[in-house]
Amino acid sequence: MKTDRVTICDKPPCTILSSARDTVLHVNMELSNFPPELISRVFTFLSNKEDAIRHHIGYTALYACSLVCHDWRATALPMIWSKLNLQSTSQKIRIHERLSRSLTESRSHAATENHADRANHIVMIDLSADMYALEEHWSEVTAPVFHILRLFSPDQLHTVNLHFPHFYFTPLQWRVDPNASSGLPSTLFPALTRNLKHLSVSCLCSSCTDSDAILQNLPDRLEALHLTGSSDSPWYKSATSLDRILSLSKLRNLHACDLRLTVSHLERGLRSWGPRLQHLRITDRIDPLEDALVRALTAHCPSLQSLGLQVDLGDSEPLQVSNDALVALFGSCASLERLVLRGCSAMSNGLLAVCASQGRGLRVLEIDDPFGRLTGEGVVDLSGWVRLEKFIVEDSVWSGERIDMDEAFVLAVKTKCHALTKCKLRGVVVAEQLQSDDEL
Amino acid sequence: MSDPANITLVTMDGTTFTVPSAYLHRSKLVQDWLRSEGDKQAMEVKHVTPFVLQGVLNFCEIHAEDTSEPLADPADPTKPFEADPRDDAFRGMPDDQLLQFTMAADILQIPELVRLTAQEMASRIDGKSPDQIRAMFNPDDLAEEDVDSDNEMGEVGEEGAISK
Repeated sequence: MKTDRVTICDKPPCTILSSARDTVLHVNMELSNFPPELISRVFTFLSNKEDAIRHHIGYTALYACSLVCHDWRATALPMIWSKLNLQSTSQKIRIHERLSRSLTESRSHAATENHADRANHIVMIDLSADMYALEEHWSEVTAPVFHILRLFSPDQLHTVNLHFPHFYFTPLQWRVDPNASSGLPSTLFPALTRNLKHLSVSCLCSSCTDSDAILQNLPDRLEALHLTGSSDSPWYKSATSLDRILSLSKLRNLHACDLRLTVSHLERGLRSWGPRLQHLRITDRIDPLEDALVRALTAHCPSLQSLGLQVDLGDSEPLQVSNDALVALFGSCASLERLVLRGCSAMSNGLLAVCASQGRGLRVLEIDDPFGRLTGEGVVDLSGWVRLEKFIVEDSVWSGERIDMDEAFVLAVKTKCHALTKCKLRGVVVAEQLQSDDEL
Repeated sequence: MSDPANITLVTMDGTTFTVPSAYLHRSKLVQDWLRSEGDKQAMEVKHVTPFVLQGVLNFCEIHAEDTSEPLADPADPTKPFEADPRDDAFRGMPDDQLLQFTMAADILQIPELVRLTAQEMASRIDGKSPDQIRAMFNPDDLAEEDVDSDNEMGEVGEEGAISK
């Protein structure tokens, strides 16, 4: 067969085994030939972290693209308007009023003149209740926000991020009346959250009524939930009914911070969340790292990819996690690639030895051992860490005593963990390559 | 019956190229065709010119022995993307050629080439005004009435910027 080597585009030659090539045909390619999905892919590479308001304020690249031609505009508008951030202060009342009016007019034009209905594109919304701290402007500030919310359909939103003020910064009414409410959660839940998949709430329990409105109406389709409590609130106990969280059967990602979850709670939840659960992060005052929890994870959550347990323990006695339970966890959760343990009292060289020999899927291991027990002494089998890329042991012993890692262990890490790009053991840098944390 | 070790591609004007099938293992279109119609003489690649197909085949040859996992979604912004020096020439092509290569990569369903060309298009667009983008890519005109409500939003933005 004839081999014809052809040089094109000033590239290295391409080996064409044979070709019948009479002419080099150039086509006057125009954007009108571009399919919308391809335009969308190009736009995906433009920065799209901004919400609709920031796109307009900053005259972003995506916004510029929306003014180029009909096809680009049709693709760019849903991307520009997909996210709306109403993190409001009194200074933004006029912005929200204009926005509310613009969205309303856009809807009426869409009905009569085949124009884009911008409000209809919004699927992610960031809402701040800081505005409610401004008691004297209460109704004035909230009116346009509620007007915008009323433009949404029940199935429209898939992501909601709610930011409540810390209890100390809430209006006086909230601090003295457990029934006081911003009205925001009761507007959203359940009427506008039927299709909600991602929910984040910070400073839950600043208001008892608001918290209950959320917790009792968590939608069935929720896949990712990030809840941060506000344990300084006197309404904490009355508001934190966790039963609904524990029964969410589609949950894949849970980050629970300061909700006072118990191991008993978590066992119930793990049974409900089951094989769907991929990411679990608990930050609480109760140490969940005990055999019962590890065995529940082993039994119910084989798809777990990341596990983070952070504990504020005080001087409690260390709990015992058996090596057998950990071995079973690594055996059952073969996809576990990120393990972060902070403050857990069960930290020991025995636990580290199990991680090193059995954690074959681990890419990230971060440990904060405030008790200073973990040194690596006696940990010699690192055969499980073939994929380990990031290994951190924080240097944060409560007593202030200087604890050094075992030299033989550090040497073994250096010589045997070939995939490591970032390793810092009690303040000593063992490996550091230029790589962003995002990649890990 | 075509040689299974090689594949013949026919462009929009009838020009044929025969290359090792292994070059095109990342092309979903070609792989689907080989499975369903591999007994035919040649695969037609309509809407692709000889010049562009030659460039695409060049890319495929350069990356034929890459062992990285195929991209499931070429536009997944969470996947880290490091510029490959072997692709520098593709990044340097004129705007009209870049459009054609992006289209061809999409037609042949080669995610790695779609990502390369789409990201290059995005980087050229970034920071440009609508007029500059039009000059680059020659689109249809945009009716003025479409942007009226955007102007109002622009005023909203200006107020926001002032009130910050």
